[in-house]
Amino acid sequence: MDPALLSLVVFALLFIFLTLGMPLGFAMLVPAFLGLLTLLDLRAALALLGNTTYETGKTYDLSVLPMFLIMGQIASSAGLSEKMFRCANAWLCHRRGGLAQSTVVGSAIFSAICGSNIATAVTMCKVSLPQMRAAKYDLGFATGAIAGGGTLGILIPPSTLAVLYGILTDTSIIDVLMAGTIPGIILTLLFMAAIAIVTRLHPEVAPIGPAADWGERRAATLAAMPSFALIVVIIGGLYFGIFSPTEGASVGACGALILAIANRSYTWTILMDDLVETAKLTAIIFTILIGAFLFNNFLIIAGIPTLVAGWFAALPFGKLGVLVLIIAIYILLGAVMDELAMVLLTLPIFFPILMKLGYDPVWFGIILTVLVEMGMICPPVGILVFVIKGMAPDVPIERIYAGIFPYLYSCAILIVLLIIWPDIALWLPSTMR
Amino acid sequence: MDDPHQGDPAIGAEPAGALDRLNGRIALWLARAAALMLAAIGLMTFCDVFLRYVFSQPFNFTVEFTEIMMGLMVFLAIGLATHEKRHIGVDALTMRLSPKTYALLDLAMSAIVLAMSCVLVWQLFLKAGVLLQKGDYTQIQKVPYWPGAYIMAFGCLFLISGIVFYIVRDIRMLRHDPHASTTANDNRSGV
Repeated sequence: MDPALLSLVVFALLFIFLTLGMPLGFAMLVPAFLGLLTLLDLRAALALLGNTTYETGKTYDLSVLPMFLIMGQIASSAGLSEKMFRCANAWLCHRRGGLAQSTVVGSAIFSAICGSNIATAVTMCKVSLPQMRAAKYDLGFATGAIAGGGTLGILIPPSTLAVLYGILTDTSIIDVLMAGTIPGIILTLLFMAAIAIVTRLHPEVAPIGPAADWGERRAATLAAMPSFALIVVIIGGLYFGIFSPTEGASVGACGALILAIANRSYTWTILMDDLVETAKLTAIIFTILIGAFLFNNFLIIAGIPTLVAGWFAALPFGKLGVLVLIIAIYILLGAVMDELAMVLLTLPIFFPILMKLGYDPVWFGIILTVLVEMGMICPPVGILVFVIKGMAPDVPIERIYAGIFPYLYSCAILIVLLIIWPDIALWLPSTMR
Repeated sequence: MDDPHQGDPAIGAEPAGALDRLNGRIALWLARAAALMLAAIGLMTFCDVFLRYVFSQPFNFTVEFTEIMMGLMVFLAIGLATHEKRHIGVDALTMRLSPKTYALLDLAMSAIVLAMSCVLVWQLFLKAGVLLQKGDYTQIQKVPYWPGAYIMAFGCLFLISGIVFYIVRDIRMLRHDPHASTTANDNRSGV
């Protein structure tokens, strides 16, 4: 069978299986294996399946994932997010929309310990939503701020997506991680500006709260200091090359554990639960990775990346036009698809095209991360919106979606800024050499 | 951590339910072993960094042991993730279906996943056999790869057993078992 036609059949099968509810890893594994059976002989296809499964399980570089996951898990269970939110709130509560801005800043700081945006949104929802309710905030506006802040989890290092991107594209993980720092800070500022604009246009959505005195600010800042110290150790250690990503993640996990134990409410039972939960999450992610790696093998053997790169090269749009087209495809896919599936399925095809056009792999990693962030809050299938809806069942989903638009626009502005000034992402990694 | 099926009236009411619960318990203990391996990887790497910078004497086995323990951790925890139906999937369509239609569709998908898992586990056992025959071992500590490969394949058996029990639950659902109906619906949220 013609490889292009075969690939179409394989992609069609993948989307059918995904739509019918097959787990993502298997939805990639089954069509990829069938495709390989068509291209290779039975023995070779089976050997590739066995080797891919075994080798993926014991890849040292991938050990950074469970380490980042356990660090975030411990930080969530130990209530570190609450201290970060209180610290941000002590400094911002006197402003209109101050609680929403505190949520965004608290999320940004917590993102520097936790690399997952779902975990960031869940913990921040628990901490900040009751306070915003009590302060009579508009619930659409409040939940929008939580969803928007939650997206920062995968941009600010440590980020699980950056790790996956680095591994899938053979790009330096440290470079991708560090490249997210300045865009993460800029996006946080854009989110704060968006909140300021919304509250200026609609003051009724966010009443002004009482200002904290200097004593309260000092106490809240001191309480959050150990968490800040941990962030400095992790990001500083990675930046100065003191440790590798896996080592940095392990040091971060042990640091988070020490902070958790110091909190006194953290018990051995909670630790064991956190470890078991992380082991399960790791197994789930690895099942998906095994499917993705076999799918990539199929695509490469079928010669699809080269074929599609040829099609894109023939388009009359020029270098920037192709980039804009790919970004538009990601925005559309992100609106309807699971973001992890979107990245794993499209990266083997789009990444070679962009590299052939001369774009920087680290820079594209950050663009992709921002696109994934948009996908996670973009209607109709915004996973973070669903997560928040689950935690605040009384808030209609339309109101949450109405509240996230300022954050979607902010992400779009960041993408434009990154295209105009790629150094926003590339400057920090360049200073490491 | 509690048994995930503790207190569920649907499970344990008949032999298949009792087996399902037993499967869950074994999977839970395997996941606990995986959790300890995760802790060991973290602690070992942390100590490695500490020893390197404080005493200039890092471990020389960190990478090798991490690789082996990672494989074990992933495949020992996969049973519990499967038992709790935690694998990530897209449920935008399936969540709109009636419980019975959902069970029918889930049955079909589970049957395909079961067939694929059987092939995968078979290949993992073959891989372990090849490693045993060749006598491959790690470069520095000379630890043989085959025991780890066999444990990985063994852990993956609980992927198969977990899927078999989904199929049993779906069949019970299709035969108008009200308890199984609850279980099948509950499982959707975990996907």
